[in-house]
Amino acid sequence: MMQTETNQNLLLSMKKKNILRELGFTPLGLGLLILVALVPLFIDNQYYLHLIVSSLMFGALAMGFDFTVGYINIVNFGYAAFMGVGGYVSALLATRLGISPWIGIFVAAAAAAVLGFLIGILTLRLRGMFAAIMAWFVGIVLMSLASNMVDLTRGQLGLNVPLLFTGSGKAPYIYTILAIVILTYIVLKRMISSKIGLAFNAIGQDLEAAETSGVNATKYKVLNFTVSCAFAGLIGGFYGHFVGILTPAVLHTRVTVEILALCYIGGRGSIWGGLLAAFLIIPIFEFLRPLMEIRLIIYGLLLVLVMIFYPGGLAQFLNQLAFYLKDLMPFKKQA
Amino acid sequence: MLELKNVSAGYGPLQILWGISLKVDTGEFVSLVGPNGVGKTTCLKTIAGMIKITEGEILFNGIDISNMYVPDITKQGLSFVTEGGCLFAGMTVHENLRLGAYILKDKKQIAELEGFVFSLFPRLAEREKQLAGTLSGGERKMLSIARGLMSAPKILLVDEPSLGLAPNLVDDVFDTLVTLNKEQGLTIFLVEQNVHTTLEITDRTYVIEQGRICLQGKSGDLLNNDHVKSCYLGLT
Amino acid sequence: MDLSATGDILLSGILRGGLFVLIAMGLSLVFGVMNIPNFAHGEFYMLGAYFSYYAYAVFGLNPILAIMAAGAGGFVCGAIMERTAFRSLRVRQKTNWVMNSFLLTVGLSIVLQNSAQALVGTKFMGISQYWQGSVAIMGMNVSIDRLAGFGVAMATVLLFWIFLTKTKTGNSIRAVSEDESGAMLVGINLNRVYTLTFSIACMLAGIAGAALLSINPAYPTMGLAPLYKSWFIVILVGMGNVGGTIIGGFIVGMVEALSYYNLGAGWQDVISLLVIIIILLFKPSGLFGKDVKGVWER
Repeated sequence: MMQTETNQNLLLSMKKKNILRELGFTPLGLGLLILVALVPLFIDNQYYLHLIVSSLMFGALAMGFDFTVGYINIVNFGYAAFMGVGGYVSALLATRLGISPWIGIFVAAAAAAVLGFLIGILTLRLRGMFAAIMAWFVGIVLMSLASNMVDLTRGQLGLNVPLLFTGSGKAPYIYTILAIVILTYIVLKRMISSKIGLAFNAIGQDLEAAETSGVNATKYKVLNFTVSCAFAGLIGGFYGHFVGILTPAVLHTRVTVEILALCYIGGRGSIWGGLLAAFLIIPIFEFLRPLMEIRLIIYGLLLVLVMIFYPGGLAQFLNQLAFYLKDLMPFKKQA
Repeated sequence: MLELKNVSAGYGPLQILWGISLKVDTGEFVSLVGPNGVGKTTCLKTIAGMIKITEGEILFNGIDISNMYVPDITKQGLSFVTEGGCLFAGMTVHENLRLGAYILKDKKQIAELEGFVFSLFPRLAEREKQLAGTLSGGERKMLSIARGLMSAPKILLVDEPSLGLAPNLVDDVFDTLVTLNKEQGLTIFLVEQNVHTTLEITDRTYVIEQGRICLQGKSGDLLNNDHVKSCYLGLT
Repeated sequence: MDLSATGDILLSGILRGGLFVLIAMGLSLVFGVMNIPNFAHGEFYMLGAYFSYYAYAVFGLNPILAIMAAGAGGFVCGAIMERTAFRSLRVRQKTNWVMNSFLLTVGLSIVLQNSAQALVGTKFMGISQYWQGSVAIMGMNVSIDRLAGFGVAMATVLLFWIFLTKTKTGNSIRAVSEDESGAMLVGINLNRVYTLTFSIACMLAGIAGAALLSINPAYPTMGLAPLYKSWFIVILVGMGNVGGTIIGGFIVGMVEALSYYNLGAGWQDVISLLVIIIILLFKPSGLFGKDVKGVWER
């Protein structure tokens, strides 16, 4: 009798501790996010706050990108275009129909999701490389459309977008994007830890084996792609209402390349790696501005070196570090 | 000419060959037989350099070719005809043959070799301009052997030439190999599943089981060996 | 559409197409032989433009030599890239080769673009003309430069084709793209073929960049358009089919010419993509692709 009571207590306490773990947060990760949330209370410099918003935005984009690349093994090379579409949709809803940006960004996410769904159905039946190239083409064409449909988008002149908050303080933006980041992370992690995530993994590792096990590959690929694009649209919507202006350049391949680099340097498949990489790289690059092109050369070299020597990226490095440190710890928690 | 000393090899953590020792002297027609999946093909691939040796050494005419780069082994005079042929499907019969002679420089020699090969396989001569991918199974086997001959090799390694062939074609292939050995003096190391015919046409044979050589000797003697008779010839 | 317009479009399409063929060939070659989807291909076009600019406008070489210098420069750069980056990748990362090498080329592309910018700045570097004058063809005035560019492209393609099909080295490259094991077994050194292939592909791109310098001046990010247009062609034709790019290049050239005429500037990419999607729906392996199973994942 005493035995079962102790066991039950044990189970209960374990359950409490594990809710956070179930959501995918390690104590360290959560701590860092709280730290970010506290920054605006101490720092007034709008320039730094802007950097934090940028890091969070691109970090979230890298996470969404990683969801596809790291799990179903398809490089959505037109990713920036889905973000751009989200941005324009939300902006146009606000300027043409007066819809509040708070609603607009979710409509933007839906629009990007629908677009992602359609493109997914068309291209995801093709071999991984083909799908990546087709997504890239779609991105190019969408940018082209954004430039050409001047009546709608004002083309290269840029579309003015109403801001999310009045006043020049960037702090509210930090909290908004932080909420978006947390939402993105939780949704993606939950999907990955579920049966759906198992299917993703199986498809990404060995397509034929997955299919013979009864997994409908196309269905899961399209699901993954759609969700990934939805988040791109959401963040794109936010982007427009943060920066205040949208140009077709937002959909440029170059932007996808930046997101891709963050994802890979951070560690493909880790999800959080891209966020960390964004926080490290974006501020550092801002401060390296005087170096001009050299910093971008370093950026490119970094990607090359990671691909050749350390494909697991930052995430792999930190995980190995964590294991190494754990081994050094003399204290072992009692199970 | 070819000597394996205690060779062990495999695919990563999976070891297939366990201390194989064998040799093929110049002019001999030697075979390696055994059940499926025991390492016959692995043995040939290891000799040709396609699989890394973990232990032991392989000597070819006194030169250590263990873990040498595949093309360099071919340059030493060793030609490996794989079971699938590794043919260049999008290229013609003629182009395949020419590529077979890649390591040779003398144009006259290459032309002569091509003529010789066509005399050996008249069917190929008829299909000279045809794409290798469009040939029938038997013709593909012929082409793979023909291409293997184009490098004027000192030794020919052949992997299961009878596999997947119609019985009459199988006889043709074996006859060709015998001709090459007896009339041209080409040293041949043959891996086969068709044990009976192999024992009849070769000089010596090694029997491999579970990655180890369990029997060896003159092919004629092995025909009368009890183990061979019960396991491979279906006789009690 | 009246006759002169048809002539216009035809001529424009052919002239365009010729250059597209040259640019796309290198891309197709690298994918067919080395299985690398090269995202940095456009950067070698850009390097070629810069090399020819310096050769012609700064060092005063005659146009043909300048273009050849661009080709040589592309060849050397390609060789260095392959020996350092791709060989390292081949040795270290054997899994997921296609995706990894693609990402490597993305990184390379960033490095090359920004190195060019760092070295020579973003200013356009163009020339007014290689050769003077224009010729009237079918009622249209075509500059000698454009014709010469087309001629250079076609001559290069022809020479390359002869090299690939009639020489021993060229055949060895084709052999590697057909069956790597077979190539090794007949004595072909794969590493040397890889380096040579990549160098040739970059050389072709460099010549393309140099050929139309007077029409397309050199600037660091000029490689993107040639890049995705080459990819349009390669996907349309079927990946790895080098011969097919000859026809594919002209098709895309024609599609663009038609698009310019009917819809004005800016819509050609949309139309090209639509054409590709339609063709892929009916023939998923591309117009001349044989590898249907490889394209569709079933």
